[in-house]
Order: sequence, then C-alpha cells, then structure tokens
Amino acid sequence: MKSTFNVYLELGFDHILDPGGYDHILFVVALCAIYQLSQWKRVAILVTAFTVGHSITLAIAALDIFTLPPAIIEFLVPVTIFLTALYNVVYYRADSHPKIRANYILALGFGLIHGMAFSNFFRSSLFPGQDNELVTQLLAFNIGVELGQLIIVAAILLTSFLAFNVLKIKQRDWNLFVSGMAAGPALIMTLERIGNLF
Amino acid sequence: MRSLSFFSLLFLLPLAGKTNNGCNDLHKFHVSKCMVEYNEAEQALQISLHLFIDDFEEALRRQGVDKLFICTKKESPEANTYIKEYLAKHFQITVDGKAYDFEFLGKENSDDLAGMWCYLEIMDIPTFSQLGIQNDILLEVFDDQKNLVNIIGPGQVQGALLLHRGASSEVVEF
Repeated sequence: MKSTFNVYLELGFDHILDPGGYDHILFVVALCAIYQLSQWKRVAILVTAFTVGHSITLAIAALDIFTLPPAIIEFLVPVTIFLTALYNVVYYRADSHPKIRANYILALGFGLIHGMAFSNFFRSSLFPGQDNELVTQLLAFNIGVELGQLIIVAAILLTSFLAFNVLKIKQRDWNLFVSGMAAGPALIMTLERIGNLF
Repeated sequence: MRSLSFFSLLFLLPLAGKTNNGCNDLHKFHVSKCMVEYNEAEQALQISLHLFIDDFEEALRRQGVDKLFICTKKESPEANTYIKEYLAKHFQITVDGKAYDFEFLGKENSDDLAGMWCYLEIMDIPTFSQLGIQNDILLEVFDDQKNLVNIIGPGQVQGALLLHRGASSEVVEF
C-alpha cells in the first residue's frame, strides 16, 4: 500500500505525460523550442515560471475559490500553445538578447490557464471529507507534474542537441521547425474546441 | 499572400464544429475512485465507489447492454442489476485470503452530475490482517483508465492504491 502522497505524485506525473492528453506536452515543447542544451539554466527558470503559474490556479480551483468552465479552459489551452509558437517565430532572434525576457512572463501567465485544466483532473481524484489532506495532495500532485515536465524538457533539449550537432541544423531553422510542429495540432485543437464554447 | 492565408483559414473552419465525434470530452481522463473503509464497531467493510456515468455506460454497451440512462428520469428499471453484475465481476475483495460477496446498497448521482457514487458493503468481518483488492473496472474499455483506491483498515491504518492495466490487484497487509 502506498501513502497518499506517493499516489498523488504518481497521478500528477502520469497526467502530464499522458499521450492521450498531449496538449501540456506540446506547450512545454513550444516553450523549449528556442533553447539549446547549454542554456538549460534559462529553461529551468522558464519551466519554473510555468510551474508557479499552474500551481497557483490549481490551488485556487482545488480550494473552490475560483474556476472557469472546463469548455473555456480546454479552448484556451491550445490557444496558449499556438501563441507561444507564434512568439518564438515572430519575436525571437538568436542574435538578439532582450533584457526582459517576455517569454518568462508568457510562461507564468499561460501556466495560470494550464493549472485550471489540471484542476478538473485533480478535483475528480479527491474524496469527499478529506479536506484536511488537500495540501498534501496538491503538493504531491504538483511535484509529480514538475517531475514529468523535467522529463519532457530533457527529451526536447537532447533532441535539439542532436539536431544541432548531428544534423547540423541552424538554431533559427530548428526553432521554426519545432514551433511549426507545435502550432499545427494547437490550431486544430483550438478550432475543434470552439464548438464546445456554445 | 495575405488573402491566401485568409482562404486557408476558411478551409479549416469546417473542423470547428466537430468535437471528438460527439463524445462528452469535458473529462477526457479516465479515473475511478473508491474508498474502502473498515468499520470496526459494525464489523463491516464499507465501500463508496465513484464512476463516470458515460464511461460506465460505454463499458456496458460493449457487452450489448444499451439505453440504461443511468441517474436520469428515463433510467431503466434494470440499471441497478446491470451495475451490480458489472461491479461483482470487476471489483473483488478478499479478507485474509477468503473471497466475499458485497451487498449493493444503492447509488446516487455525484454533485457534478457526470458521475455516480455506488455504495457497497460486506458485513460480518471480524478484524483482519490482510486485505486483497482486485479493481479492473473499465480497464477493458480505456487503456488510460486508472482506479484509485483509498483504504482505511483496522486500527485506522490509511493508505492508497493506484491500479491500472497490468496492475489491477494488490494485497495489503495490516
């Protein structure tokens, strides 16, 4: 028998890596498209910003303070992926180094939306009358999600490393390729989910 | 160039109305949860089991049972019989190695209306040291189905199991 903590950690970990709901994976892919392995510190800040964002709204929704209807959240999630991919292509140039990195703020803001998406899943795994354990469950679930994200990040950075060093692809070209790859399914998901809004 | 991209967007618009073949995708994840609690005073194992109704109806549909309209005004009078039968097959409990049948006490719609709580009970259970749980509910229907089982055993010992395809049963020692 496992502890409640371990079970919720496993739920969070499996949920982010679930291939059936790959929209969160796609978002992390889009976030990481402009980086290479040597910039792992920046990626760490970026992913932490995303985690801070989704932890805030997951807690807010789990505590029943505020939440949006699932149809709206499910629509907004692919919009965040598409906008992130678009940002990569439009604003980011490998040779420019803006002081304020808008994508950290982007990751934080879009994290707020993804957190509400996680909350639908999280809330459906709670038992009535267990309010005193909510903090443990939330913490464990978030750590699980974070560990899952780190695996996705590692996979992307290693793939990018191979792209740069084996296939000799230029960073700008790789950015366009990966961002385009994320934008395609994101656009289709966005259009598919418009129908659920009404 | 601009008009070209505008027209390609128009081409994509017919996709907009299609929503996953009409499936209710407000919960695209597949999780059941269940609380198994040993009531020492009543010498009974009390079980509350939460299932998403559309998933459950899909499981029965695959067995050729349709139009049960569970937890609606149109609910079939046979619904409870089918629910009990399905649960007896897919949710089994052993206490100190011995299998027990549960009594199906009833069910109710959960607050969000998408799910139902089923209440089961096994009576005349003196305290025990080993509890076996087999929960393969909906595992035959969805490959990402997870069955969360919370356990409160003798002496208020608590813990949980996360069962899924390939690992749908576990024996717990107290």
